[in-house]
Amino acid sequence: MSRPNRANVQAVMRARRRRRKNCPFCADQTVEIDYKDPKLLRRFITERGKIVPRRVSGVCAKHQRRLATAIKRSRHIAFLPYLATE
Amino acid sequence: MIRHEYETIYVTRPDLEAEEQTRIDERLQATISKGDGEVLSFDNWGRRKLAYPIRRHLQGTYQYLHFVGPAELMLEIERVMNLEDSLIRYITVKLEENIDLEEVRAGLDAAAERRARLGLVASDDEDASDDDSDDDSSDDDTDSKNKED
Repeated sequence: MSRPNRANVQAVMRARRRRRKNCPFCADQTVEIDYKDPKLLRRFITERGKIVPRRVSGVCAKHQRRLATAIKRSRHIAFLPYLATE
Repeated sequence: MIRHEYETIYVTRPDLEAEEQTRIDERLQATISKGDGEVLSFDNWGRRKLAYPIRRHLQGTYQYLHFVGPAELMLEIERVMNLEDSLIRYITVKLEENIDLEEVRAGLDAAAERRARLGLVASDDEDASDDDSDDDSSDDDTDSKNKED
């Protein structure tokens, strides 16, 4: 087992920094999160129908909250599935 | 009087006769006007595929109601909707509290245009990339690749 050397640590940090994403809803203020827009919401659920965590999608906390509400409303009126089978 | 701006989407059975559908639509609109409310727009979004079956139905007819009214009106509308057996799903969202009717009226066109852009118009399922029609025989489970786990 090797000690972490400086070059390694820096490489990891660089990789981490590159992973930082920015929120698509902050980037484009004109996009409204709307439960009547399943096409948009579909981008933020998995194939199974689960809500994608923001650590994956990069959405900021504020917009993730709105997104979650919209997806749940959209599910209620059967625009989106609660559970999609494979 | 304090009135709020609401929108309600309700879904009826796909096999409902036109007269029965009209009866429900008119009943709800009458409820709104009786309860000190005002209908701003009413749209028929037509028959759409449901993302999951509701009471064995794979499709539903979507109606959209945009209106203003006092909070107590909502109780009455939901009571009426619960009485209708053919109404299989509804959702009401309060868009704005304590509104000024003129201001809401001014924004009506923009709101309608927005809905049109989302494809929320009478369509009867044509563009919904849905091949099988009414018969509930085979639910189209998209047989697929395995993933995750």
